[in-house]
Amino acid sequence: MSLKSPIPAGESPTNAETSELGQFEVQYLCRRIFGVEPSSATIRRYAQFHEIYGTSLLTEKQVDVALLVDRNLDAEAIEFFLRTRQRKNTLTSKIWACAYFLEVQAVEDAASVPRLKPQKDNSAVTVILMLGWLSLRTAVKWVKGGIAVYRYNLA
Amino acid sequence: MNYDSDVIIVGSGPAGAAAALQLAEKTKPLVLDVGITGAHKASDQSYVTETLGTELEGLSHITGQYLTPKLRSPLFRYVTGRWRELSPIRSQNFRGELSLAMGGFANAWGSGLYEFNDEDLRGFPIRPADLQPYYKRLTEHIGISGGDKLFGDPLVPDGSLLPPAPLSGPSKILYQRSRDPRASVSLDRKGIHIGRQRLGILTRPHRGRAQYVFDGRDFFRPSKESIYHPGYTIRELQQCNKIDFKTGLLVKRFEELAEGIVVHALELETGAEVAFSTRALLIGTGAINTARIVLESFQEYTVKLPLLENPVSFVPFIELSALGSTLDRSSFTGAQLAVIFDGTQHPDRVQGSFYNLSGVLESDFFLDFPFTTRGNRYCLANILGAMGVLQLFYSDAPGPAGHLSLAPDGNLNVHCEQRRYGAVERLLIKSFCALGFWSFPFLVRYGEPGGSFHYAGTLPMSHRETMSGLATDPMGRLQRTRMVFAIDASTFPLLPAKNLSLTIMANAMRIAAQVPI
Repeated sequence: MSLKSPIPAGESPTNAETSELGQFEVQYLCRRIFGVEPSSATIRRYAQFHEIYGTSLLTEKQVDVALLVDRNLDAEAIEFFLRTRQRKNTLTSKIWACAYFLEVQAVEDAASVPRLKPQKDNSAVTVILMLGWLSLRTAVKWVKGGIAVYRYNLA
Repeated sequence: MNYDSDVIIVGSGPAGAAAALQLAEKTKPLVLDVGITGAHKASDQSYVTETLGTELEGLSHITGQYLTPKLRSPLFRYVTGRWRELSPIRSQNFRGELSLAMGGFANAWGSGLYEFNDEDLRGFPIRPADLQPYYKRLTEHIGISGGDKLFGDPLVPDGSLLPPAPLSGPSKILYQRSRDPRASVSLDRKGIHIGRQRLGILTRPHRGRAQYVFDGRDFFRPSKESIYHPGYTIRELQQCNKIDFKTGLLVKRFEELAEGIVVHALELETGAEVAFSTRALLIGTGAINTARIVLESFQEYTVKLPLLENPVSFVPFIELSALGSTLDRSSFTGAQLAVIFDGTQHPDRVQGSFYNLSGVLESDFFLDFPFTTRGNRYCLANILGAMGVLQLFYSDAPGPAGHLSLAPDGNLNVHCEQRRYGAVERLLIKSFCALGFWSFPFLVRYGEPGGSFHYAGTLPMSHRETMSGLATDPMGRLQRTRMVFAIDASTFPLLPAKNLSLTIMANAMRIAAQVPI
């Protein structure tokens, strides 16, 4: 296992090394997917999530998150492709957990983390145009994610 | 026989609490219950403990089975705590939950409170007039905030209701648009009626309980006294020394002897079997657990009892002009509107509850949009505030879709089928579109079997004797017994599409008032 390898599903972070490995993973996912730096509390909760739900994660479709982090791959594209194939997969579960942790983090530490909600309302037209753009972007990401999954044999 | 009490009530949910309220006028009943309560005071909790839990129990749905946001909320976990261990069910398809909490499932209810009218009581051996005095008393006791007259003339006069709860967000927009004269006529013609919910929340102080103050934590903070649940009634009666209330007891069975009734229970702390004697026994542990006690008492392992539940579906709507607006977190997070459908597309009336999405964590919807994670985050920020979800409840009648039986090993075998309709959903989608609320049939989701948590009909009231001898007479008296009464929704022969809690309570009071002690 390389130093950058994340926590394997089902393995408890019982020592400092494992905690550090989990830190790489959660930092990578939070930065790449959410554009947010996780707080120390979020990193701790992420490790706790694996400790508590590790066994359940083992029953899901396994994704080689270690390789994804090592190769600095597009986690957003890969997650979306995998979600369309099999929603219960370890990458989607980990990212979903991160979403919860960051939502809580935003409330706990409003000054350092931008809230998920915008500070002011957008117009309906802006949103509709944005949804059109997101559809196009999602389609491109799906193709990109599919290529990465097969090229690196991630799942 | 020396009785422990003249009357024993089993269960402290809507039925048990209401029966205790009624019986306390003429005797001091003994209430037996498992009585699980929340371990922590909600006000002591940090935000993360309230929302995710110290053991991250609020995230169990990520890798496990889906559970409604309120029931998986950490401080609400006690509501469904220990039932799998203490009331085991064996089923291929049942996805419901049971409650052994003090106050029952009502700890986490939506608090919609309605009377059953003539149409709802079709097939029942009782009429609305039989329940009316108890509806009136409960309305005063609970403190019900008023809604619109959607079901004809209500049995309880408007004057006895508290002011209606304020509306917010998409619910407010939908309500206002449905009041437009042209829209109103069009909706009426299709059999669609939209109005404010009648809710068990206090819009002003009532009988020593404080007025509801919105804090956005309804889904995370149980025991908010301004939202009624039957545990308050039990506690109040206990404090006035009008009942004896014993918890930590799982009632397993009863024996009716010539001189009285012996109730056998498991003391959960010691594992010992304890017995209580009484002249009359009222069982109100919910339709499924009441059936279990009755089947166990008669050691009936071959009889199949009917099981009714309200099939449900969920229709999400988006109000286009509100796209881009933030969530309006200014009012009650439960269902603010009731939507009734009584058109020709379905043989029975269908009732819906319209929710804003302001009560739960945004991340609950993180994977519900069809984009990548970044796209979905954009949707959470810009679409959630424009969205509402209509939860539709359908009626149910005895049939092959639902039944249960007791196995000799103590497991209940429960059969419960998912039912998908669709015609009403399609019509509502079309009609709401004219009000500016958009949806599509492929977005409709159907509840899992047992997922409505509205169970009924296992020991139906009837004037006739049944072949199995496991049914109740119009008084709730169990066949084959003299002084054993079922007082919960197990006695409902049919289950209309309507919030049933208030009627469970009124019917329990009606039965309790007539118990010959």
